[in-house]
Amino acid sequence: MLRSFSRLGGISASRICFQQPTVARISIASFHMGSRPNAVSASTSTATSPSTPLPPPMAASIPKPDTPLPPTTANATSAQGTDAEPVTGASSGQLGAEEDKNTQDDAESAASAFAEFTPVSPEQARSLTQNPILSQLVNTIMKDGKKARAQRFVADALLEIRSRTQSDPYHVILDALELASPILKLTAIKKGSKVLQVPTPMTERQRRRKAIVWILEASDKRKGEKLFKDRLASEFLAVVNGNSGALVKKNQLHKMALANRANASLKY
Amino acid sequence: MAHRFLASTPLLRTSLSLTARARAAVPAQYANYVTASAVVMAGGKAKKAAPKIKAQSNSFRKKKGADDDKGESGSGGATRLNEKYYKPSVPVKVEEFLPSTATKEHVGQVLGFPSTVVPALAQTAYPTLLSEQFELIKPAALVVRDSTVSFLEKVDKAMKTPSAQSRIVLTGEAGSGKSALLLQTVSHCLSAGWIVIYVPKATTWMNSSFAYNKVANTTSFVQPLLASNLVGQIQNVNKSILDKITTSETATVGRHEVEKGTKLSALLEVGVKDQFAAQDVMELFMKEIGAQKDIPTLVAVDEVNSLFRPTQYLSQDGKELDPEHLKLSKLFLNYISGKSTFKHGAIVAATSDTLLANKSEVLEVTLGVKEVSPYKRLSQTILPWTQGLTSVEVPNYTREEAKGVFDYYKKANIFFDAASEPLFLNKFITSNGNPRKFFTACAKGI
Repeated sequence: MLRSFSRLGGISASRICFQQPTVARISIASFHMGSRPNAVSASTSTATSPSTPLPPPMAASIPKPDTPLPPTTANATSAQGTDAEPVTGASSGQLGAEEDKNTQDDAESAASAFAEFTPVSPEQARSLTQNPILSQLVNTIMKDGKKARAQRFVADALLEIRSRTQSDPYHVILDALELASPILKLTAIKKGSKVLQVPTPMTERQRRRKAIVWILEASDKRKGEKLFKDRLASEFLAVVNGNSGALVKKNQLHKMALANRANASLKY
Repeated sequence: MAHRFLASTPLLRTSLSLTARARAAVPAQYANYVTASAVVMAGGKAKKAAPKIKAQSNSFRKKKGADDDKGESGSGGATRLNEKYYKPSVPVKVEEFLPSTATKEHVGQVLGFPSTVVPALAQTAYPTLLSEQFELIKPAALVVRDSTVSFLEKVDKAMKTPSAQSRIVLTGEAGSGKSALLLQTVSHCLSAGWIVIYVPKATTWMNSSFAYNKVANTTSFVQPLLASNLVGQIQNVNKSILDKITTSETATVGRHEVEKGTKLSALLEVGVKDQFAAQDVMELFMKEIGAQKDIPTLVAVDEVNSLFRPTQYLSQDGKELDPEHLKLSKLFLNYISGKSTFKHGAIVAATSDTLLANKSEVLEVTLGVKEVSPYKRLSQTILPWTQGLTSVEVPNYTREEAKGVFDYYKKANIFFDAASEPLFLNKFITSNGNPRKFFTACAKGI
């Protein structure tokens, strides 16, 4: 148990994928890297070997280019109930079928724990409106319903990242969000008169939102950069380079979770 | 078990009695497991046990401390860049935009400014929004369009005619490529060996960003520093050509005497060193190059609409000055309106929609770009300066031109999606072929 918890320190390679939105009770055993609560029997092999991480979803079974278009996000959610594996495979296969090197990277990133829903067509892979990750980023930045302004910010920040690194800014953002996202949150429950912090899992979207909020907060503290898009771009790059306030917050949360791991078995 | 709690808390150093310490240190839920002997042992062996336990707890703490240090120093101290993402910038390979390559066969190709022209263009700034694109993609390059080819043919015909016959204003909607076409004309004429006077931002002449002095006994004003800067730019751009032309007679410029037969580059040097002589130098210079027939002259003015509306300078009465009251602007307006002429040359100007406040209604109405009620009174002081100008409209991209630009953007890694036909159609249709909107659609996806 201690060994598996020490892995929380280097969590970026994690493949935990909780499929239910909220899980009221989780056992300590569920913190093993390989197993997921209420998983269908397909994953029994991984449950018995707690130290091995989940295999990359559908990596070996990316379909050939001749397959029809992958299902839309609506179909993907319904398919999830029946299939234990994430449904990124079919969609990522569509992307992976491209000859272009960048879209092969897209397949790899689509196979990451984050891209559980991928857009329908390859040319919309980086669309601010169709891509679920970028649209979540836009929505989190949006205030008072000013979506166009938020889209402008994100687009300008992406261009700024590209001009500083000469590489694909979309992958930088994916990597930064993955690095900055925690895997648990602490829920306060009252046991008698005491308030206990109980580590509880989060959905992908919740994790990503936490990462985005921390990155935005850290970017606000940046001094010397006047424009929001410059600050945001600098913060994403700082996360990817390993020195951001968002990473500090994530590590603090993980440490608190480790300290309170005994509470995880409590029933409430 | 109890000693663990004792040692790990700061109670060890307090002046509480042993029993009080034990009671305080042991959490209530574990009280069942504490035995009297354990507490006594803890009290006696606390100091002995402390180093060991301290070491254990310190090792945990040290790890924590190390992590904290990394976080703190990382956020404020030296940065290590993630090698996966930071790559060196590779300039895109493009052919040169020369008079030989600006032909119909090359329509749709993106050609870069020749190496001989780039230092000349670097003397003056690029137009604002174009310079942002050139910052992003190096080297600076523009696409050869149908309108480029036809316009350059026109300019070549004007090589042997007086400039009063070729006074052209480029018009079109915002972002349609007027400044870009003007830049291509400047590059073409520099390669062809013309004398080129290029003004990328005429707005800066009118928005009171340069000091101005009144000339005694006249209603005119002089901008010494602006004139000196302009003279310096012209000298740096046309250095080698100006050595071939000499003044035709002695003249006085400011406090200086200029002898007959002085090279024009030496004349301009006078204006660079003495800003108060620069205006006279400029006027003499224009007269001299206009009088000779060997080398044609191109005057290229961008944002020309600011020359046809009141300036932001004020007269002594507090009224806004017209451009004709500023001597440098009046000099250029004389050539633009045809009152003065070069024996061989052309005047090409481009309007700019960048700042709405700088729009000139008079110019737009005279060129036929805009229709206004006949009852509306147009400025009678500015209207005479706009007579006789020809308007050339710059259209949006054709599909072929847009495809060439799209492939160029892909090569330059402006966007990272696969360069497919559906993507191209998406960008082309949503931007309606407007060059600026097409660039925004490709680069930003909005």
